[in-house]
Amino acid sequence: MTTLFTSGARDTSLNALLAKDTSPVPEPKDMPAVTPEQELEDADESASDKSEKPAEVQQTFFAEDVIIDQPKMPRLSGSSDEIPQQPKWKRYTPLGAVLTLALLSVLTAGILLRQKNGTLNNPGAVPTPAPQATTELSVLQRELVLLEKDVEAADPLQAKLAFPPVNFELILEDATVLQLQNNNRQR
Amino acid sequence: MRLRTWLAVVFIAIFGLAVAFQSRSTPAFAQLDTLEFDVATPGIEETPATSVPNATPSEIEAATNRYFAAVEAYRLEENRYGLARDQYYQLNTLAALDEAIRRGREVLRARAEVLNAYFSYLRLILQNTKGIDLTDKAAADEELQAWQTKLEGYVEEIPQVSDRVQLNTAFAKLNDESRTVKSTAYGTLVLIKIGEIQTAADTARILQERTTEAVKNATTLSAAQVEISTRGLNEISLLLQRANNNTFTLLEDYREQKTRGDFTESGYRNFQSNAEFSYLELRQVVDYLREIQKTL
Repeated sequence: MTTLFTSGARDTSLNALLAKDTSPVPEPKDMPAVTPEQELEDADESASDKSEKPAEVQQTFFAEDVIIDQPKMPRLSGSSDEIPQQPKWKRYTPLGAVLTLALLSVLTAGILLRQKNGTLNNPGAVPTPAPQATTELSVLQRELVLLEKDVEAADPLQAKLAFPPVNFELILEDATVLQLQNNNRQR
Repeated sequence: MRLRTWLAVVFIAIFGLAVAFQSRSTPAFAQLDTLEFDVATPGIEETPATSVPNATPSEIEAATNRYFAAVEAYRLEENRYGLARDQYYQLNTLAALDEAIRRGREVLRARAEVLNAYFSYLRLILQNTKGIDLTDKAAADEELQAWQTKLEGYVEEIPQVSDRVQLNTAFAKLNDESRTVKSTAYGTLVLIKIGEIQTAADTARILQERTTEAVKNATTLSAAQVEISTRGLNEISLLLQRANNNTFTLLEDYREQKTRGDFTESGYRNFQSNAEFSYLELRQVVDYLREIQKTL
């Protein structure tokens, strides 16, 4: 076993890990003692650092605080002024926006689908085969009625206005000549 | 409370959008309806339209009324002229002659008006009749128009008629052309009837094609019903083919007679009996289509 552990790099790192794990965790009491002067110096340093990079320091402070203490109680280390409570409208604005976008997306998708199916322009129509067939049949019936009218109009005996009864033999004869002819006939 | 407000705003916005979409789509709906109506009678539209705009029903009605009024006036004038003429023949006086000539002028005017009104009526009917070859239609219309112009010229000459010889000359102008006048009128009647038959045949063909599509797409028909309908549609095709062939023959005869210019009343009767075949075939088509539609 020993040979196996010492033969490869993995075993070596494992050994190193094991060695790290088995090392004693320093107790707070084992930490080097801090004198009051050092505390003051640290406080000054931290104050100067805070003035230079306030956000980083604050974050570090909170991070340590959260890790060491309970993470779900942010007010534990200080008063309520340290962590400002967000107003409700700030909390609900993203939620509302997301909801709006989702509903608009659904609505747009629905409209696009209906347009694709060709039913947008006919809101009453349901794109099922049966109504389409009925519509088609009614169209055919209507066209049949038109055809009947056309055929009736094509009846050769149903003539348009006939040629007018005008006289093309109008003439005004000479009355004297006519009388002579009549006299000759009588004779 | 804020959340509720937000949700209310969102729903109002969506509702507004939906209403906006619907209102925007309304004109398109109307347009579609119009398109559907236009598509419903495509057979008629296949015939090229004339350059002359179609006559309205009121125009045709006015022309018909004018024609009947002219015929009535002509009958009255012809009777009056006949009385005056007979009186002149009996009395042989200058007064009777003058009266006969005066009545003769009136009957000349009335006769020209009857023919003019009749040709106006025929031209309107011709314009409105589809299914006629454009060249034939234009030629017939030109002929009618030429006659109208000629008749108007005759009417303008009537006031100059002052004696018996002039009256007889005026009578003779139209008397001598009676055959041509009648040929123009009967030829137009034949052409109109051919157009009506052709229109009916075109409409029937379109409807037959649509019915064929409907039978193909019908999901409720049994196999036997589809077979019967298909057989009926094939029969309709044959009927239409025969009707079209006969109409083509009629058209050929028309063109031949038109060249000779000898359309007569008896010739028109003959055409009527020949056209009866196409008409009966089309009637049969209507009956078959009605039967097939009942199965759909």
